[in-house]
Amino acid sequence: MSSNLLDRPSSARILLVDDHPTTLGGTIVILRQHYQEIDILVATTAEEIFSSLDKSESDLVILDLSIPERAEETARTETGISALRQIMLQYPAQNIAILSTYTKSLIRVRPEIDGHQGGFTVIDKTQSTQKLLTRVDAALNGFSDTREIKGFQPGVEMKPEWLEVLKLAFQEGLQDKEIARRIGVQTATVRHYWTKLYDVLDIYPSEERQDGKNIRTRAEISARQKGLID
Amino acid sequence: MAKAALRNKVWQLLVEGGLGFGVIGAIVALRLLGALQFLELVMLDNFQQLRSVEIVDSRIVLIDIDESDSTGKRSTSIEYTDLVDLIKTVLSYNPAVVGIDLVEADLSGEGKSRLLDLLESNSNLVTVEKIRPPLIEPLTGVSDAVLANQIGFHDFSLDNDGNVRRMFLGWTETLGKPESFRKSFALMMAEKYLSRVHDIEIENGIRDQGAMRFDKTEIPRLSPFSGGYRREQSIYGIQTLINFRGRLTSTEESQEPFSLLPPSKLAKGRFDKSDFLSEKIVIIGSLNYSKATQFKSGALNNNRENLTGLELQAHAVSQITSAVLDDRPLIWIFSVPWEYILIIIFGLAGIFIKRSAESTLSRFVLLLAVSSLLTLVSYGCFALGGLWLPFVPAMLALVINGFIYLTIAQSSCRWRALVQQRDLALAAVKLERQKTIEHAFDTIHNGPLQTLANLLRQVRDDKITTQDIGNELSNLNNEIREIGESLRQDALSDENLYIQVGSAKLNLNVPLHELFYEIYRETLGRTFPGFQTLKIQARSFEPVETSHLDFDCKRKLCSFFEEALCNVGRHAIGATELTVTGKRVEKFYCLRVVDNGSGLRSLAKNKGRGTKIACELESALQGKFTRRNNYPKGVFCELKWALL
Repeated sequence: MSSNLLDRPSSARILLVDDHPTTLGGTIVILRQHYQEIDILVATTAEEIFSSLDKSESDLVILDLSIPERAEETARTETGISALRQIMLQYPAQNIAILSTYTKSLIRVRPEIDGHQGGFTVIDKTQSTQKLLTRVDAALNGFSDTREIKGFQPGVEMKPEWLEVLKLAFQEGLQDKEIARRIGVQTATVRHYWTKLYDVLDIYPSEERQDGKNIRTRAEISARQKGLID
Repeated sequence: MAKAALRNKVWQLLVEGGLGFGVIGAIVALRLLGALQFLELVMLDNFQQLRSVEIVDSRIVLIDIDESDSTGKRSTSIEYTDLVDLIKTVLSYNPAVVGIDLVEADLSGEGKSRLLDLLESNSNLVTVEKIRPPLIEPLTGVSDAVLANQIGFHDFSLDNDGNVRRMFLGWTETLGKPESFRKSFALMMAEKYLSRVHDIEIENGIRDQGAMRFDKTEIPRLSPFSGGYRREQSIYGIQTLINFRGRLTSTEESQEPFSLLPPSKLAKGRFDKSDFLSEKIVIIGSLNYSKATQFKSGALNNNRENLTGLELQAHAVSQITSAVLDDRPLIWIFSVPWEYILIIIFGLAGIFIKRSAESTLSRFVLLLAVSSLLTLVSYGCFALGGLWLPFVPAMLALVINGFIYLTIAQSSCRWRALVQQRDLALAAVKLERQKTIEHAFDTIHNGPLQTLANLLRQVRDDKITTQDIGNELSNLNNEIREIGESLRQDALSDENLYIQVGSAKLNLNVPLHELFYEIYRETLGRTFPGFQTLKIQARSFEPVETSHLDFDCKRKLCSFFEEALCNVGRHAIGATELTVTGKRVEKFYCLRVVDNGSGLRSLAKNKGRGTKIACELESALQGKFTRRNNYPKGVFCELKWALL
């Protein structure tokens, strides 16, 4: 656990969104134990999320989907979903981790998640603390982990652009810069596609030990195994 | 059959008109009870007032005995000698008849015998008596011949409102004694004038034996029940209504309808001697309003409400002579049945206004038109022919019924509108039910039927284990239950806001591209053979503007999309790559489902459910549906429609 592919950030500012005091307290304790220097902001309603984000940037938003719009109102998954949409729209590079018992409701926003450029991980509240922390780490590092909301159907589901990147990289052996030129996007966008592709190809850097593996090579192997490229 | 229908219709009319018949009945009853008499008489006065101007009656000359002469001397009574001198002067100009509307009490001084002599020697000299209380005896000392032929009674009987509207022609003082018959002063004057100047004698009426007639002119006789009168006690003897002579033409100096000759001018001969008095009717009396008897009338149109006995006599004589010689109308009345028929006709007209027009406004205008017609006809008949129609009761029946039925029509119109609304609402409900049925069919078709078809194929191909059959059947069981649940929810929600796709119930309010995505996930999660071999599922859905699409349209798009994906699952055997995209391309939104499976067997457009929905959408969205083989293999399916 001490050495995976990722750097453990020494300090971070995290916005924790949860309307349930007990869960909130528990999560805070876990996070404080894990990170040496951590600045935890708390929001209990959708309104507070935006007032907080407007004031100062956060490295990560940990969001419970069942929250109320305003204080005194009832917590609804619908509110959390629309808050998430709003965050992704206003802050396209914001790292987000979803901490919820009802992660299935995210399926509805899957297309937006696919287009989101920041890290995006999904954590089921019933999962172990260990898993929670790895996914928080992954999100902080801008990676994508949406295993929980993948479909059950056979085959790999992805956006057509990602497939294009995959083919250009592994069938024609192009570098990111050239790929970007070919498909007419920024190099940064191609890198963003790669983080999404890792998620699709079941490569989760935060869970794997740093034992000399090249992540692109791992991706190529996985893509071939899954039959995405010949 | 026709008879029964007719009877039905008559009965319906009776029921519908019940209220109106009641109103007519009530008005007839009111008239019979005399409640409308006052109104009808006032209306008669008004008609007379409205009548056009007439010229001065040149046959009649009035001499006001009370005129203050040039010396300014005024006396309370008239000297016999003065009167006799005046009469002699008048007679010297050869008048046809001279009436002296004075009684013994008005006269004083010496010379009464000279007046009696004048009466005896001039049969065209007429004087008065009053034969109803308070009685005024004729001049004492006149002979029986003078009493019979030269003395007429100058009584007028008044209506309850104190107005004079009628004149006496004659009266048999003692019932059963014809010899006690007395002629009125006015009749006597007219009779003598017509006889002497025009050789027309008085005769009995032809139409009404009891009436009087000169030549062709029969003077209408009043009864206590004539016209607006109801049991009028003061109508007895032979009476007729007075058709007051109207105002003069504006060119005349005076507004009086008769020529006035002051005694002073007469004495000095200051007037047109050739024919001013010759062969004329001269009436001597008093026009002094402070002394003479006054009568009230609402029928005068020269801004006066009162007239003296002298003027009243002039009107009475004038109306008879003018009627005989000039065909000036006398006031006459329909027979009683005709009057009531007229009232009933206009009452019915009030009822029928409801049926004869469509809108409230046009009914109101019609009512206004019919009542104007009634007014015009009533006035026209009176002004031109002297006919006194029952205007007031007819108008009341028309207007009351008109308004009652206008109100009824309006409320029934409102009722009809309500019924129409209700029908529309029912039709909407029916349409909704139709939609629900179609929707149910779609759901069953896209759900359990697909699963069943899939299962059947696998069983036939012998590629399935009993275990899997069990699983599939249990899926089927769930799907069917979910449909039931979904339909029940639909019935509960006012709008059909949801669509059932597989096991998910999707809210149609969600943006369309998200709906597509959820349908995609749901459908791809099913165990179709075409999905089993898929390696790559490339999909992306761009947001699309749907404000111009209604729920029905969105539902159809969803069904189409689901069906298109199902087709891949069923027919794209061996497909490894499925590309599903919703993209804006120029001004269109293209929804594409492209696989690399076995392709279409025949290029003929199949008549599947998906194609049917696609065709409906094509016309609803002005879109274009394409389904063809894809190069190098597989099927290309696209629906594109114009963006706003």
